[in-house]
Amino acid sequence: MTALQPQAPVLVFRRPYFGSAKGGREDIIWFPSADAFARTSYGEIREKILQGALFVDVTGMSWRVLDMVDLGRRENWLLWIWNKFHRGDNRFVHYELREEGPLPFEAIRNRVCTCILRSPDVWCDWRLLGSKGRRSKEVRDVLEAKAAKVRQATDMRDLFAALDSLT
Amino acid sequence: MSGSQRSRGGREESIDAFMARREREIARRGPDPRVPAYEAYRNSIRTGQDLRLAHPGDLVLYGASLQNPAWPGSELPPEPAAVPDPMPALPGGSDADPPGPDPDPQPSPGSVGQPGFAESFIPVWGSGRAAIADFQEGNYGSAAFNAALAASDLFIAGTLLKAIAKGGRFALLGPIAKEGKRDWKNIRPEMRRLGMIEKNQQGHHWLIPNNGWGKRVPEEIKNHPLNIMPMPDIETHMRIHKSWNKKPKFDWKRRYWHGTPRWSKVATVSVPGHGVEAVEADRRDR
Repeated sequence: MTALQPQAPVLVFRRPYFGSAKGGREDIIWFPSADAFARTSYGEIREKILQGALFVDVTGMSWRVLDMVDLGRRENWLLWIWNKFHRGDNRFVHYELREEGPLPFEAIRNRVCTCILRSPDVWCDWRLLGSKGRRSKEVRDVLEAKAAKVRQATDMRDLFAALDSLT
Repeated sequence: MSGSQRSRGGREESIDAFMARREREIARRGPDPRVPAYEAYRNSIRTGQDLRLAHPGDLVLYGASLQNPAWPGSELPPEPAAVPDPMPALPGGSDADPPGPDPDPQPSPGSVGQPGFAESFIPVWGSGRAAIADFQEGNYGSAAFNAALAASDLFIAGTLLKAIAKGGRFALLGPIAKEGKRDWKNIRPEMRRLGMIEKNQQGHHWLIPNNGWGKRVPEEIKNHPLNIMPMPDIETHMRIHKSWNKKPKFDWKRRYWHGTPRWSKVATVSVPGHGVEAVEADRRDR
């Protein structure tokens, strides 16, 4: 447990949602703002979808997610009803975290690149995968180009900007 | 008015006397139900158009005598008991009642007629007939509604026919038509072989989920091709279920829009539409 909370934007390394987790394969997601970090959907809390995931914040500090707790309604009724209909992430969540210490930027960047290179289903168009095959040169080139963009980042903010540009 | 003619009893009768007697008879018995049929027949002869009767049953009742040159008013109308009344009498009314305003106007002579209660449930036919009848009766708003309903029926039928043409027996029966394991891993290649989903394309279990409460549903039901919706890309599929990359899960409107096939959305409009049409038909029948 930690009193220190991640500062947005926050990068998340989590177990893959589909496909095999063999060889330490991970998926990445990121929360671009503090509001996005504080919110999630009911289904994700119920399934504790980020339990065991690793958070890395903009300062390079990392945390392991021990649990996800539903904080319920934290806004006035009108806003709550509005958000119920107009937002998918309409629940407030609290993450129980264990501090894992700061990570060197190069390690984070390489880990992100590995995620991209090992997950063609996520980072490549399915039509290209279907027509050329997931081990084809064309697919490899697409993944390498995306990883190269990430490798150009020099700090965490650059890294988030590079990831934003890939999606 | 002047002149005279031979009355039914063989006596001479002036036109004025005939008209007065005729009006008395109409007041006593009500208007002759055959008159509209004769008028429609005369109009068809005069204009050279097809014979269009307000009540198709009139053809059975008066068909044999329509070509009789005698004006139907020149003889006494048949007794109401002898000829079935094409319009049911109003409750509490009697033959002597003066004719009042019609509570439910009959379709115009050129109309094909509105469908009945059961008929309005028949896809394409029920709504199509109602659209034509509404258009002929000048109810253009209702005609547009029913035409849209008929179009939606055609779209659903077309989609199902296309799926059957592509997938044959498998599209109809789904995994039941397949031997061996019926889980998604084994059904997906079969759908791919039949061209129902492409290689590496994500298939979304849109009505019964593959996980969650769908785990309690038999594989052959939840893996039926009708329950599988090919997704345009992975992000759309993932955001129906959860957050993806930096984007949150879809709200319910976008989950519905992206997560249900087009034919199901059309059916969502079409099925209640047929219900409304049936209620309307039932009201008319009463």
